Amino acid sequence: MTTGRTIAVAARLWLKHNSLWMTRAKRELTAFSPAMVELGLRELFTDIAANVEELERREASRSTLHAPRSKVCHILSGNLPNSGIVSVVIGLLSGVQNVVKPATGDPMPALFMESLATVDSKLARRVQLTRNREAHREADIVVAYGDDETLSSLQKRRRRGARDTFLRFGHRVSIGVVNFHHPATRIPQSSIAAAARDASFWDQQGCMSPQCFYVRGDAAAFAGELAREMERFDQLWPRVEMNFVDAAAIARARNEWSFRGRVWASQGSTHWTVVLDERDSWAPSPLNRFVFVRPIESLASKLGKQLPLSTIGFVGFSLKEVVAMARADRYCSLGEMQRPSLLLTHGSRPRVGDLIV
Amino acid sequence: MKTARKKTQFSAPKSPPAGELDARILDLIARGTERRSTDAGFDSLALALFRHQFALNQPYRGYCESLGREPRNVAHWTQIPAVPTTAFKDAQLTTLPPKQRTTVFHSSGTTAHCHSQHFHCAATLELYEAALWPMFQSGMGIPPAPSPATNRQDSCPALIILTPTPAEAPHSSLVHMMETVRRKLGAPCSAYAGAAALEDGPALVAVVQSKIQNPKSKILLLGTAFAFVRLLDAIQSLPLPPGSRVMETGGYKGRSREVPRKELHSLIARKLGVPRANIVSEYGMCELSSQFYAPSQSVIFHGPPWTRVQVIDPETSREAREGEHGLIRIFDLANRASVIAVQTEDVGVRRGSGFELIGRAQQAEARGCSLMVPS
Repeated sequence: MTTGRTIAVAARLWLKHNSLWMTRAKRELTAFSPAMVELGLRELFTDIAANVEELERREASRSTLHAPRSKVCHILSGNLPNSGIVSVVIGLLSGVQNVVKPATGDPMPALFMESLATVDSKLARRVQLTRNREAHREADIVVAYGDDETLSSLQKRRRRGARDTFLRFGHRVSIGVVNFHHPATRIPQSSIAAAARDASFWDQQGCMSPQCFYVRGDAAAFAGELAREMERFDQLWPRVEMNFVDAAAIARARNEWSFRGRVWASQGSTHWTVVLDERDSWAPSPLNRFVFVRPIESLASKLGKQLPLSTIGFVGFSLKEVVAMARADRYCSLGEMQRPSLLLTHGSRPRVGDLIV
Repeated sequence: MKTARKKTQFSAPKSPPAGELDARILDLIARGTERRSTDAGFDSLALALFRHQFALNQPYRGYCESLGREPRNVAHWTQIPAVPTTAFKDAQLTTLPPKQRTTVFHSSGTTAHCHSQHFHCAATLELYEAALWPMFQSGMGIPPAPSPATNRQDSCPALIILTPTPAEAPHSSLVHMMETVRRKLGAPCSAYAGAAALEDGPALVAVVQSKIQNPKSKILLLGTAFAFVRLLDAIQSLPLPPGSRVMETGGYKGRSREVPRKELHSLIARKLGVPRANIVSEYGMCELSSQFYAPSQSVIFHGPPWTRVQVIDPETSREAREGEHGLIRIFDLANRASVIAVQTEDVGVRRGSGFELIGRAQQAEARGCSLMVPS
């Protein structure tokens, strides 16, 4: 079996009815509700099962695949399970030895490796999990996810001459752009559900989660409909219960914005919040399903040139129009923002070729 | 959803005139701080003030309307919409027309656009000054009134105020409070540290030393926590005369190293020779007109009878249970010309009719790759 085939078989173990691995993940991955874990991991492993062999075939045609092997250290952030698992999959496809430093308390890398070991223990041995914070010192290549401060600190501690092999995936922002111009030409309801899904998936923890939707047309009407869809999504895939600090951050932001703008919010909880902000400004979201809606005019004036954009999800515009509005690593339809295919190559994770010296 | 309108409606009386409200507030203040006001009495005045503020404070009215709250469907003081303290930066939250605004208090901030603005006129400044005194007096153990036989100026302690002078900080509510205290005490031997000395430990020491020449003259030493840290860092020991008292207030705002309250009070006790029983903490802000006090040996802050405090569970927006953390919300009837209900960003724990102050709510941490960008 090729590496890709083996990984695909392991991924399918997660998709089986009553999968042991999925059950364990739902129990152990406490940063999200069990329903959110199941939905998110099901999508992740469906993608891996469907595309990993194709990715292997594409990359095999590159002569660089057979270059001398290296040792890659993956330093994972733990805010989302996806990026770490995909990083390890790409590490395995590249044929290198992998050292993986999961975030404290993140059970997913270990669970995934256990599932892979049941299919091919020899392949699984190419991944060594570690708690050693200095593991990156011995690696030829470092793939690091996390906040900018941590990444800069890590990069500084790298041995001299190794800076060119430090692949950092730090803080970025994603947004949606929506043409909601006229009541008669409103985008279909399914697109609003898709926007709610993008803003709610993985509790908005990843850099592909939109923090703001820029709307051409009646932004208030869009915000109201988005709120209804956020509530619907939360009924099916509830957000995890917050600790005090995170709940207080949301409460403070709601208080602030209920004066500055208009707020739609889950009642009796901080599960989701939609804020209509009609000022020409950018403000941070406290995340955890807290999303802004702003008129599209403020996109041109504020955001395009200032923020590191990961993904722009769009509806009702052509790709050309969206690219003209702002530069990002990735453009996709609304609803697809948190479904980056394994086959896509963009700036949020390494490519197989990146890991080959 | 939060924006849903309440169905309860009744016909609300008209907004009472300012003069009538001021008289009622002053009457409540004159009754002193010992007894908690009855809920009915508090409620009646709170609702009258809400009607007044809803009618005359346009940004507040808009805010209330966006929440579906207005006098005809607000039946109890707990239903009065609380304005976040940040709103004092966003809008001119006042019932006063521009010509009547004789004084404005700003929050301490680093840049002009970050300041809160709390406007006063002569009448509301009188309320402010009337409201601050009884709590200060009881918190600092000052007798209610001098006996006719004593000359107040002889018996009153020397006042040392570790803040800028009123001329240096005309928009500081804290400095205005200090100046009011100085005037009410009639303390002839009082001294402000002044802005320059606050940046310089030895200069602060010199200010204090200059006032403790007479070992029999008691001192009231008032100041911000960071000023105390600067002073204490600059001395090994500087005992104040017996019977002296200390009041510390405010946070650090990055101006000195931060010292937990208990440790700060221990340092004051050890280096200044003031027993813990003579140290109090004060909690106030420019958006309010009343203050809260906690003796050093307690963690619980109490306010005057014309205030109420709620500790709000951020998850549910309902009042937290006894002993649970939440965000502090204050109803201050002395805030006649702005808003009586203020939602702070401070975290507290509900303790009976008071609260334990934990500190400013932290910003949630940016985790992983999703960016929380400062505006």
